[in-house]
Amino acid sequence: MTDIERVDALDKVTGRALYVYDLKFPGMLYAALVKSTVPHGIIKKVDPSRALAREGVEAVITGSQLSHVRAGIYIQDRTPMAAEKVRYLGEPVAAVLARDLRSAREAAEMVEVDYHELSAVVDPREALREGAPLVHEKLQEYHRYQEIKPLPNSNVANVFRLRKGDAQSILQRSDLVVEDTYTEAMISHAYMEPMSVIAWWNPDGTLELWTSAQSPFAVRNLLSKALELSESRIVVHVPYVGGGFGGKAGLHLELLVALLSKAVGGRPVKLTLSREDNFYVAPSKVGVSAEGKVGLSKEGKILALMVNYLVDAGAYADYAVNVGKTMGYIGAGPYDVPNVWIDSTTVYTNKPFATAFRGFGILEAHWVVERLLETASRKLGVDPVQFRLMNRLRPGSTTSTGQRITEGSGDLAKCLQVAADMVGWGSRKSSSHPTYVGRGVALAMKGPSVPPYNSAQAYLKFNEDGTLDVSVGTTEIGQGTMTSIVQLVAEEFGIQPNKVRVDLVKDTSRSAYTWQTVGSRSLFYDGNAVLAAVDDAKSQIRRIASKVFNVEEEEISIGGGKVFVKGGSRALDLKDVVMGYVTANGNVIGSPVVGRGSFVVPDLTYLDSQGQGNPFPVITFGAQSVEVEVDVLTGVVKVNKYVGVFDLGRVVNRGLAMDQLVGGAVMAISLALNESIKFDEGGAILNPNLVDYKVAEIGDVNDNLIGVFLENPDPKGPRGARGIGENALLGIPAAIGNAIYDAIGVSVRDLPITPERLWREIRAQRPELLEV
Amino acid sequence: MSLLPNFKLELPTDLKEAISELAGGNVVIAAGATRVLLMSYMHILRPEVVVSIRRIGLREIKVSDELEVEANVTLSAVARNERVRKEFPLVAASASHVADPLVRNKATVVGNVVNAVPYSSMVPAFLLMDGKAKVVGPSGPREISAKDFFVGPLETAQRPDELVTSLTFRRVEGEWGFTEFRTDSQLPIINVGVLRNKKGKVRVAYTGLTAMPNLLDLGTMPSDFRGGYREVRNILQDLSTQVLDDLRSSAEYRLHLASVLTARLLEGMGR
Repeated sequence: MTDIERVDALDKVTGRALYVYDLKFPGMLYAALVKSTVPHGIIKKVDPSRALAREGVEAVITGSQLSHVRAGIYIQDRTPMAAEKVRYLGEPVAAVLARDLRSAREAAEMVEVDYHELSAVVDPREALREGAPLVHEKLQEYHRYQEIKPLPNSNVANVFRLRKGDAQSILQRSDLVVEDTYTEAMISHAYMEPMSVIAWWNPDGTLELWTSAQSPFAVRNLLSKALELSESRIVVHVPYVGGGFGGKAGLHLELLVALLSKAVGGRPVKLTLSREDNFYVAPSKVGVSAEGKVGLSKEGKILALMVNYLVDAGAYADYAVNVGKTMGYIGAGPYDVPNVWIDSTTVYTNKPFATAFRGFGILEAHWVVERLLETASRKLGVDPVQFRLMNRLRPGSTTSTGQRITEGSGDLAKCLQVAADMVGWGSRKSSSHPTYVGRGVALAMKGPSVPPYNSAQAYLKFNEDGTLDVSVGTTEIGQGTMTSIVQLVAEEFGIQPNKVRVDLVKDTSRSAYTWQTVGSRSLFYDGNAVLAAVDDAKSQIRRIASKVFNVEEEEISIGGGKVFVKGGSRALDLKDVVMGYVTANGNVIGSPVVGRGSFVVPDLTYLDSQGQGNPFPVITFGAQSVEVEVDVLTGVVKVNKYVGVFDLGRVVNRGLAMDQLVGGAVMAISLALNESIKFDEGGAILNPNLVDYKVAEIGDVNDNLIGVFLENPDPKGPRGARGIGENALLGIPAAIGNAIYDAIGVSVRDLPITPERLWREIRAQRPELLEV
Repeated sequence: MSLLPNFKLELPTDLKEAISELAGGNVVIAAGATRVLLMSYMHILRPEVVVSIRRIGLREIKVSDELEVEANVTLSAVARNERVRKEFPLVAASASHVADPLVRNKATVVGNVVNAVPYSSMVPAFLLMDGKAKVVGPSGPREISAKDFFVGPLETAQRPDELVTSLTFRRVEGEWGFTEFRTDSQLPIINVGVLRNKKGKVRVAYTGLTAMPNLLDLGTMPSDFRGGYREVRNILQDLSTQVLDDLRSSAEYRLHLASVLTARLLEGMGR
């Protein structure tokens, strides 16, 4: 296939692309949030009088005025703003609505709130302690999904359990048992566009929203539940989105802004977060600590794996409970382990809350499993690459949930061999004190973490000139799926890509449905749906043409923008058929062509009480390797080279796939080496800005980032394709950790691996390296 | 998005007018305005009046026995000036390390010094090269030597009604070195400048090590890493109780880095 240029490129480079922030409606009010100044406390009084007296202010709405509405995707544990008590420092307690943003922001500082401060719990381990302050006293009363099981009178939002075989007793009988503890910091998605929402109620009671969200249909669905308003009365518009990375999945500020608009008679209300507010009010990635234990035979076969995850959700469960669950059910990841025992406990703390993040728990699990197994292979004295090859999943083996791997799942062994070869595994390293070179590998495995019923629609309609308009539900959040959709459709009809237009801007009342833009599912689901729509359109075209040519439908072919009889010379332009063929006497054969398609994977299952079942509609395998350079005297780690090898089944657009690979590598290197949201003991964020929250910039990562794509087609994928969006990150942090061990024999367990942290580890584990 | 606080912007067109705007104090002077912007967005600064000096000239780089950099000269201009690079390489190198190219195109050399922030990259050169700040106030011009310029954390000898119109750097013969070190912040946790004169005497200057900049005469120093590290570490022990301990780095790590980075610079000069 020939790559086409991104369909959103021109709008973006010319500045024509509109984001929610750019939109303005008549009579629109601007909202600003009054945020809690304590991490945990009863709201005694909210006094808006000074703010209301300020010029330009129209209303101040407090959390208690909206407390009849509840939200939370898995547990309805929150109200649109804090009502009775605040559960984290920075939590919105009131909103000021004003005619301009400055008035709103300045008035927000004039709202006086009195708190009766309560003891706060910031550390998730402390949150588990008997007698710890309770973030949610009425946890058991919340409406929730059945599969989510909060423990009453505790801070435990959910415990996910996976049991395959009998890991506990096998561990006792293993030749070698290796155990270790790992942690991962809460981090920010650091998307370029902070959250922004406009809500406007129509006089007929319909709610219209414009939001920088990943998943317009999920926003609609969750709003419908929270507002007890049917989906058909809600229209969600999503213009261009400046990045999401999971942080804009689900429902966030939309509910609050809808209610604010309602409170002022339906006038349009806009809320745009500043970067600092975005650190507090918009959710981040969960923090994790994990105790892992692996049992092996002396030959190097993994016999059993036990991991106990503790997931820090912050003050509300949002997606964190499902992230914790997915972290659990990926189990031993890409390894064939007969006995797996996982507990994944998601806890509340008095901190800003967490949500989905690119990789959705599976990223976090890779840090634990790949570091632990590396340590085990080193202890056994087995080459880490050979160890992985020996223990990998292969056709016929089952994942930790019991899902079967088939020939169509891709070639994991080849991924690893290529990744190891290309990074120079086994070749000489040129280390010279104080700079040491090391290499590390990790396997990567992920499928979309989706409910079985998740699905996608697509439709396409032809225009008089033979061009066509295509609609799918996925949003363009930078990942490029829209471009691949256009490319697939153009190829199918054999027409120029510029003759295919896709709806880059979504409107739930017009766009085709898709469940969500998440989980590396978009090309797989929407691509399949669009190909079904293409097939539908083609059969209509064939029906028309068969009548025109007076042949059987099967004898008609479509390609190169033409409709023709196979093996014959008779052909029609697509444009003469797609609106109905008009005969010489004015009769019409057929009618305008509208292709419709949809896609679902029918045989997925929920997981049972042992965490067993078939959760993944598709799995992408990969292997990732790095070469690092460690300056032991400063603790600075440089990634000299990265190789990512993924079996994508089929690459639709190589340039875009490579962009995902490179973008994912930069993101993973950045989060592995730099990123953490730093809290003080009182739960305040010490670095709520992009000065002290460091995201890798162009000078921080070299361009020696290499991607290799294998193409063993997936029978279920659109033309065989699998997803890559999140997979691009998975193994990189562990590969870096493994490479550091390879370089200096120091085991790192905590992310991020900042220079100071590594220097301390070196001092503790290999003090002789620091002797000068 | 973030909003700047409301303030009155004064745009004087000559020095005299600028000085008169400063009378009465409580104003913030802006040249490149990068610190004013950053601090305002971070709610650390809420200026009521900002006096921009962009229109009063003071854009020259003057090279004679000394280097004089006027108040509106950007870091980029100094970093790419051929004569500065050749004759005052420590100044050029220090300027080229600040932040990123976009910031360097706006931010000024004078601003980087007079703000007296602990992450300043220019201050070590200013101290090492016996710098002077030329200052104009209501009672006329005066000069403040670099040694006397920094009087407390974030505090200088410049009075609120005075403007620093230029900085001078003395020409020094000998070898030089400069480095900065950043970890998980955009701002360096430490900057180190080193000079070794023709007689082999070494001076080192730091920002970021303690709340105020440090200038130390090290005397004759070994040029091998180990020797340099050990001597510097011993000398810095005197400062150890004052070393900054903050979000970006612990005191212990800063102190260690100061020794490592200084010894590396000394070793590099010896080659």
